[in-house]
Amino acid sequence: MTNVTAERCRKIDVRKFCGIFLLALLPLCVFATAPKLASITPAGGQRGTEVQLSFNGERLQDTEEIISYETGLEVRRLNLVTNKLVKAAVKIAPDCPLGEHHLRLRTASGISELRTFFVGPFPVTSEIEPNNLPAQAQKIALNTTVAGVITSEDVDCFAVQLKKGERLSAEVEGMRLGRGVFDPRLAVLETNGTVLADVDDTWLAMQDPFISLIAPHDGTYILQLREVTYGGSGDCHYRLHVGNFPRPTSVYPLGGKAGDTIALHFFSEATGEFDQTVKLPATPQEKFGVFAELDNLVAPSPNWIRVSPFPNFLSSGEASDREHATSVALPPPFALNGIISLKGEEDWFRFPATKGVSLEVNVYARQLRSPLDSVLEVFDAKGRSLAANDDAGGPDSALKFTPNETTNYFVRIRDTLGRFGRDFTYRIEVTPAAPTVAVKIPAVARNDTQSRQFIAVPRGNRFATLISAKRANFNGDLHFELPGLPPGVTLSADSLAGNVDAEPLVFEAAADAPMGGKLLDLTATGTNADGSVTGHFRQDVDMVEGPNNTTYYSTSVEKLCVAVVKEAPFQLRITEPKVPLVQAGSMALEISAWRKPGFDEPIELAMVWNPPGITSQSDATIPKGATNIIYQLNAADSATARAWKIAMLGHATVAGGEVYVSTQLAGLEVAAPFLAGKIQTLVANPGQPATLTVELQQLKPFAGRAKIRLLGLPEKVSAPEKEITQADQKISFALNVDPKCAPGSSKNLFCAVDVVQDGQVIPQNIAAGGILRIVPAKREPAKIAEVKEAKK
Amino acid sequence: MNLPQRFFWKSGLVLAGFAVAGAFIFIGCSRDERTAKLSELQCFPPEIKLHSAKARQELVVQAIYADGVTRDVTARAKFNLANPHLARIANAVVSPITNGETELRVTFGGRSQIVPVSVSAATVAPPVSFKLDVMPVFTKAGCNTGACHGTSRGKDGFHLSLFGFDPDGDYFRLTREQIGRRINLAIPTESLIVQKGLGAVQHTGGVRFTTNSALCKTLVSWLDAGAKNDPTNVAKLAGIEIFPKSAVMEGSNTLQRFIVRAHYSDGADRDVTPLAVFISNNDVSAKVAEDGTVTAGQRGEAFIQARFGEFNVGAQLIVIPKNLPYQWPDVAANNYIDEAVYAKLKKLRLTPSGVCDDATFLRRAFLDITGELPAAKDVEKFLADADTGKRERLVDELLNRKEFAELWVMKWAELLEIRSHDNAVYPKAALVYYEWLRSQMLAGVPLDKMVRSLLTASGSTLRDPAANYYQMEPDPQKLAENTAQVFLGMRIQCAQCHNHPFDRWTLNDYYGFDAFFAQIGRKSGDDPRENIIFDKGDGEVKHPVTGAVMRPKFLGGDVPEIKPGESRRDVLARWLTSPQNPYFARNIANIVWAHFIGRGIIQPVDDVRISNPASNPELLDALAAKLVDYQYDFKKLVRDICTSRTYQLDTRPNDTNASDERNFAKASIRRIRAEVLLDCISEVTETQDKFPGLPRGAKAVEIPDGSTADYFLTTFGRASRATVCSCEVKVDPNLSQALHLLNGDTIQNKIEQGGVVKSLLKRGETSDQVIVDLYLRCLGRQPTTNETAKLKSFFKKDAAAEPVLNDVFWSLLNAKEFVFNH
Repeated sequence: MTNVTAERCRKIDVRKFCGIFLLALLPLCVFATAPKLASITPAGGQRGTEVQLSFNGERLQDTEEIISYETGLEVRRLNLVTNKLVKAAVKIAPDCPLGEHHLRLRTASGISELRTFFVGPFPVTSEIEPNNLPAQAQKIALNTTVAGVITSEDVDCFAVQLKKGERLSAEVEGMRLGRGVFDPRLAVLETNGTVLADVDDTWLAMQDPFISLIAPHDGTYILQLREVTYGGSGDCHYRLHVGNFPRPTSVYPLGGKAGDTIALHFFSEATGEFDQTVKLPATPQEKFGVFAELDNLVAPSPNWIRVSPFPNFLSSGEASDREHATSVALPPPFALNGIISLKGEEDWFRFPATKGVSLEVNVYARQLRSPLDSVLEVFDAKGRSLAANDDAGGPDSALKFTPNETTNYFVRIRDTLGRFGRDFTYRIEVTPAAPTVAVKIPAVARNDTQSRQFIAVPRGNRFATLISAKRANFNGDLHFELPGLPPGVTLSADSLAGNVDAEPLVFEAAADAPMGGKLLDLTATGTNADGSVTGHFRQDVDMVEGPNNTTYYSTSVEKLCVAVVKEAPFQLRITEPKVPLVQAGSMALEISAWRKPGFDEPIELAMVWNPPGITSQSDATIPKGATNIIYQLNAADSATARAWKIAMLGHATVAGGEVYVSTQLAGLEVAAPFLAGKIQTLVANPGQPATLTVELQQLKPFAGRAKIRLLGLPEKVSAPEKEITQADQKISFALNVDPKCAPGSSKNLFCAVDVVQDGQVIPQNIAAGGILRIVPAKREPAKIAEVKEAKK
Repeated sequence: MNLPQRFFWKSGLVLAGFAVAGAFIFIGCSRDERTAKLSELQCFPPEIKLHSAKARQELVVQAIYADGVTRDVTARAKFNLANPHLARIANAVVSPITNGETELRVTFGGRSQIVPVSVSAATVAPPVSFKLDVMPVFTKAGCNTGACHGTSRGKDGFHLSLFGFDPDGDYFRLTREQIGRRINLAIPTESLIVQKGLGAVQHTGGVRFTTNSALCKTLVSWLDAGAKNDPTNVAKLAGIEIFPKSAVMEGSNTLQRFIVRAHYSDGADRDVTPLAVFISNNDVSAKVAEDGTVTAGQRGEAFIQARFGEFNVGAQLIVIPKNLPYQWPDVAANNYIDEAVYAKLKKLRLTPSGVCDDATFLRRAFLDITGELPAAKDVEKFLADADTGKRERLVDELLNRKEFAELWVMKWAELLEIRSHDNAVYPKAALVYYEWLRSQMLAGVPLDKMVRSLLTASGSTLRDPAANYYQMEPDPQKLAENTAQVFLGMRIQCAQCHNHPFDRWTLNDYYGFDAFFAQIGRKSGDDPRENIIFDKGDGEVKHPVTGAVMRPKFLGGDVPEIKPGESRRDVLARWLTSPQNPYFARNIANIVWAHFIGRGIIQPVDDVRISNPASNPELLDALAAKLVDYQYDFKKLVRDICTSRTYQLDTRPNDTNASDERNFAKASIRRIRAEVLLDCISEVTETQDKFPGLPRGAKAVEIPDGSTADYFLTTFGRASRATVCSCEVKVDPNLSQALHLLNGDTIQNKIEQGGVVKSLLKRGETSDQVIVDLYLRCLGRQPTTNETAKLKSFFKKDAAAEPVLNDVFWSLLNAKEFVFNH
């Protein structure tokens, strides 16, 4: 059994191999411009061997390092071929974890996207065309991995020799390679055309098929692989593993206690059930891959289980009703495990729970690739239903309930569609509601989970990112920590207030900070009445996008990549305001840019984050050659009055790529307003003088005289600007109502007040919602009487 | 012969003599002038029930002759009541005197029939009922038709429910909507509804009835009595019958009277002939008067429809010329199909065409059963075979080919709308659905089982392909409509808004059937392209007029008991495919028949309704019964059809059947449908096509996704599978098709790509041999002497033969004979 999730990260230093190339290429790239990594070929290799990898992309000419999130890969040689191709000789350690590995390139200029590379147990051979017809089938040895591509309308056939009774397993890694939308279909045929198996999707590997069968007789067997709709493209890469290895469809139980050694039962249609003892890692893991081993052969991809910090309980197998429920003697937390293997089966469990202690009940079935579509229900000791759920956890069920007395409770699980089978495994974790925090960098671009999901700080400059922390069962302040920053790099971050879930982090690299990169564990930690909590950073990466903003295949990593990169040709700074931004007020923020001589490209600016109640321009530009701009911030009435930290991120095009630089983490105080007011409703006639009075409410003293303007007036009505002091309780405006002013009602009158403090203006709006009605002047009653008289 | 025997023999003679004399005497009383023998006498209705003092029952007496002709002999029949004190009879109308039971003897042409008569409540005259008496007035007078006040917005400010589907709503509109305007209880005859109907005031609809008419009297009586609504316990109309059910009228201007009897929920019957609306679908042959009297016109068939309340019924009518010289040819019936067809042809005085020749049969059977053309060697072998049973053997052999199943996969794929569309159904879902269907067909799964699998399907649309039945059309109402149309051949869409004007379906039927689909749940699956179909266990359908929650009700059937937790779809599937459902087997049989004959017994096949009757109900019933006997293995039904003499008829007509298209007296000439035609072109040119989702060389018939774009197929009328309608497949020839074959790239490119002529020449064949090969592969026959002679003139000495032969090939593929199945 091999763990696919590394517990530590490894940096592969290749600088010593490529210095000569860097020297040759340096003139091409003066400033930090982020590289782009499109793919790695081949998609995988055999452990214990050295493979030649090609990294394909753009702006790769100053590649310094291949960053691997997992252990087991060592770069022996690096060859910077062109700015679009880097070749590397990589040694895959004999004990390298099997399965998916996550890699990035770090260049002197930046950090690339994350791409994957697969480590397998078998020697790799390449597909050789033509092999479209069974008669052209490429002969391969058993326990081989074939690397190939299904191009348009392509069918790839392979022939293997088997003895009667021998196990034939074949598994495709297609969609999982993350190269493009590739839905493979795999069939096993006899030479007379009889189809022994024909598989499209599987529960375990989703779009990727696998087959495991026992050969009915000695002879040649044909494996036929194609895209399910006879499509295909240059992106449809695959790794087809063929051999005698075990390929279980399911594993049971679906988890165990961290650090325990547990017996796992694998099940395969061809092989039946077989057991394997597994030592679980010491720390809990949401999804832990276990590779089945049988007869000294290992499955090329894992089955998935959970590693939890609490004990396991297994269904008795006869717990089909409340009376026969599997009994758990301990109160939560614990995990319940079972299989819905019979038609109409329901599994029941009984457990004690304490009054008032909220419990979370989560099913883990489909998340671990079980076919079960669970329906969960909790009952009290008298059989009354307390809570039920079908799909809160995706197809899996999840619910919360709070026991209202200390007694036994029951949980029942079944399949939504009444389906069943040996693979319908499940795990129910019942835990007291505990504080959790999920830390991530929110996506900065639509349908893109890779942009700026790393920290690349130019030397002598800054870089900022927004970081979010989603809390559950917790509402206290959080503090971010990122131990082990590269030398010369510092992190500026405010504590994250309990009522917000995101804020900017600003990284600054000293001018002499050595260039280099690291994978770090970013944490958010807090303590309050709900307990203490530490959340870790995680990046979910959509590798293959599906239709309508969906995803076919995604992967994740739990380390933040931080690197010091080459200098940027500009720096940014916020001129920190000396006065507060008041509620219902605005502020003109000055942003200045320092430009390296010769660099005059426009710089696009945007706030990394707006504090609650603050709005700003969506973007702004420091024009070509300019060095500063005024950037407008507005505060709503409801903006939280406190000192916040803000930062702006700017980017400019440099050498064909985008260079990102941030301002410092600047203070911004949001304060209560100086005064409030109310406009007295006024009815005015066109062409006639009118006076509008505003009642003032002094809230906070201010020095000197403040300007006040009446705004929101209808067309052809004006009022002169006036001044007030902190002693004024009202102010009147003499309105100039033009005779041609149209009758009507204006309901959005307000006053703009400019208070001056420390030489800076603090604008604020007061008295919103004032009403001015313009009505035609009434004719005098006497005149009407005269008209009537005249008519007579 | 001993004494007793002689005695009885002589006695028999004497009795016979009396009988003959009696008959002559009787004929003298009611003489029958027809030379054909009277074989049966029928009096309608078969029993008379008079339930009130107002009750009356009109009688119709029909004489049926040995040659199939019928006569309305009501006026000449004798009526004798066993107890004349119980009821009176005048002008063939029976009315009550006092309560009791007796018999009516009806006599004509030496035959008689006894009709039981029962009289009850003879002295009770029930009040005029709004729903039972007044509502029929509006229908009979035409007030509530779609062209008048029955239109959705009413007419001239007055709205009635279409054909009276909402009596309570109509009562409100008459009495409450504009108080004081439409009815006048003080002076009922001054009521606007009376005045308008009489045409006494301006009325767009003109005069609808007269002062003395029963319609007017009913209205006034109701108004006189206070224009009251019915109590809630008033009996409901349960059904109606028309008498006689059929007639064969000889000679123009002969008359046949039809009567309509209604049945009510309290068990009462009522003669509603005066209130029923009669419609003929062929006025030229049979014109029906308001009172139900049909006058024969020109030779032809007609269907007389009667509507009363929410019910429609119909009777079949044949009109033949008087004294038509006709001799049924001595042709044997191969099986029950021929017997049923012949029976109808005899009534119509039609003679079936002769049987087609072997070459024609071979080509027809190949195209119909496999969607392919016979290869040249198949033609030669079949023509050389002297075995008399070779046609049956051929049918058996073709039925066992996978191409037979594949052709029907395509047809079912059309009915099931298998296609990708929008973001609701992705190509993969369409593909797996199609593959599932294909596996069902190839495995020979009985159709009832397959349909049950579809209707009860749950799960992922990618992993449980049959669940796509609920994904192709997610709207529950449309699902209900599609289910009725595909599996029962019924279009119930009209009844979504109002009772079906030309069928039996009411709003209750529609929403009751809809309720079977009200609890279908859908949710996303793991794959972005999949949906999970399941039974939610909740969800109801409400009646749009009454707001009542509708219990699931089988179309034309019962309201079933559904146990708690039981899937409504399971219940529906059991009923739909059960032999108790009278529609399913008939519908499948009709679809199969239409494929092989070119026309359904009910045409269109998915428009089964009262007003679109089967052209040969007995044939359809026989086919349906066989399908049930065969346990829905439709391959056996196909064998019956293809081995019948009817299927093997020539397309050339004779003098009697030239104008007949409905009764299968000759084979029909059919343009080959798009997919089969393209496959045939590819087959004879030895070329391959590539369609999305299929390997190169796969046939157009196998296209899994109806959204697959192909210019040739679209031009030739391939179904887009956007609806379940049978009308999606178009086989009408048009100019675009001709131009595409002539000038388009399909034919010419394929001739060049395939290089058939080149390879035949390379094989050493002479030009004459190549021509024969081309004829055999394209037309399934040898060239005629005349054709050979004409073609010879195109070959020039010393000139290459290949271009000319390619031109011959091109000409054959452009010939009508190639493009049509004949």
